[in-house]
Amino acid sequence: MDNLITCLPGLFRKKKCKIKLSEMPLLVKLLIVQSMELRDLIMLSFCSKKFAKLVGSIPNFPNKMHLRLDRFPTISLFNGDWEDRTSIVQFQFRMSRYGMKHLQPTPDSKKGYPCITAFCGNKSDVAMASILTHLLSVFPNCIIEEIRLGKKKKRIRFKMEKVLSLVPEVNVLDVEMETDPKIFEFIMNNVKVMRNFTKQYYQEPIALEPFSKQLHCTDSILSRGCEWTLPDILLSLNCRHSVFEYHKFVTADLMAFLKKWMSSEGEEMKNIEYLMIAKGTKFDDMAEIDTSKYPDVDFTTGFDIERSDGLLGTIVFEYWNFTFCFYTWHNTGEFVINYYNLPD
Amino acid sequence: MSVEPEVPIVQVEEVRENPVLYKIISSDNHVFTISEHAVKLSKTLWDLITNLGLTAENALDNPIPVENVNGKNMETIVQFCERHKYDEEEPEYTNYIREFVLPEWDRQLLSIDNEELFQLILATNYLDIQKLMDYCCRVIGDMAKDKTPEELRIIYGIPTDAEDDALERSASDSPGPSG
Repeated sequence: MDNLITCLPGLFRKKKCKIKLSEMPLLVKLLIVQSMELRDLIMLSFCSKKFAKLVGSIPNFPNKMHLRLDRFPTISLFNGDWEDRTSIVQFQFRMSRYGMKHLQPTPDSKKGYPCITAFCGNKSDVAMASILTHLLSVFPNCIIEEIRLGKKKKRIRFKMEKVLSLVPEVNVLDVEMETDPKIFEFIMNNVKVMRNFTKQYYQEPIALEPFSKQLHCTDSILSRGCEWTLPDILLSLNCRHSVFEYHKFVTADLMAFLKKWMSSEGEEMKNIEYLMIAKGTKFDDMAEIDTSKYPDVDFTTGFDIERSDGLLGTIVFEYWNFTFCFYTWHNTGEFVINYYNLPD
Repeated sequence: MSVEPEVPIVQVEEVRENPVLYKIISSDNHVFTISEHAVKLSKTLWDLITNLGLTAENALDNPIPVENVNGKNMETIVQFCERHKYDEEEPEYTNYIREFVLPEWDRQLLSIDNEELFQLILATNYLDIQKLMDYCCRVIGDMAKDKTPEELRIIYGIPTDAEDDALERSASDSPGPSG
């Protein structure tokens, strides 16, 4: 009995503290956190506000985030290239029977990167939102590179809006089949999509009223269903490659776009290299263009227009499959083609 | 003429190829000899040697007192410096995360209890030995592997936010040096 009593303080002491990191000089603490792996760093940031600040003081690490909001919601942090699997750490969310709220490092996934599992009772949306809030405050320079939206699990209460409301902008938005139309509308109204947008489906039979007037993408838009777009979206377009399918645009919308392109200056609409609008309403013929003014031009295949800054555009109507294509030629001098002005 | 302190002299490593040796006295009066190449790894010691104008002729007659480092830590430090004295210079880190492999010999050297490691880090910081500091930090950083935040709080003795706030409040409430 005596032995047990005398050894107890020793046992507690062992458990109490191993090495007093908080008492280290600041530069030493910085060196220590810099020698840690990303997953351990993230775990350390959850220990206290002071340590969150310390971890966040490592510049630009990590610098990108992916959010997946579907059956298996995840947050992935990485530095540099997504293909470099060694720099990825992924948060996964698991319901736990006892409503426990804790984080557990889990073995590397099959994909080859370390994971952290958040056990979060039946409120994984709240857990994901609070972890995202924490990560965005610890790594303020970390940008949300991509959001992948999909169908959530049945019978699971997961309000995606709670997570999405924390995101002001994203570089890449990928909207998969069976995404809840309300979530899609929420994200399009609240999150700026800065580079690439992909929507792989046409929302049937629950077609929404069109609601969105602009996309900020500069690189690519692929919308295989345009039930959500208002024609004004064309007037604010400044994207390198855009494809709109199953649309309700009319010839007047296209003409408004072309006129806007012609009169735009500087960086406005300058990114546009290729625009295709297809598989939608049938365009009128080109009655609005007085083709008699240009007897030498074969309007059946296309014609060119030129902006005041010298940028050339080629318009092609394919009446037989209701397709409108617009190409611009960022003047390399290789193409010498006549240009014709649009009608006033 | 300098007076040799009456304490045991610890010969960590005989350095025959380099005739210039320096003597260092730890806070608990242990004396160590260290070669010129090895002592150069410590910026603090090397600055001291150059400022004192110690040369090959008078180095052994003028032991350098290091008040902030005890004999045990100094022994580890001298061993480390002698081991790494001919290492090539480390390349500049391009990444903010320091990626290097901790050699087995050094891992063994640093397999000491945490209190000693804590003291060794403070000593290394004082003596400004970058490589040893990197290695010590790696050993401490490795303790975080695969741990939960709760486990990390215990391992590193991290106070909770409430404890931090309480400490700050008590520090601000306590009277300053003037009373």
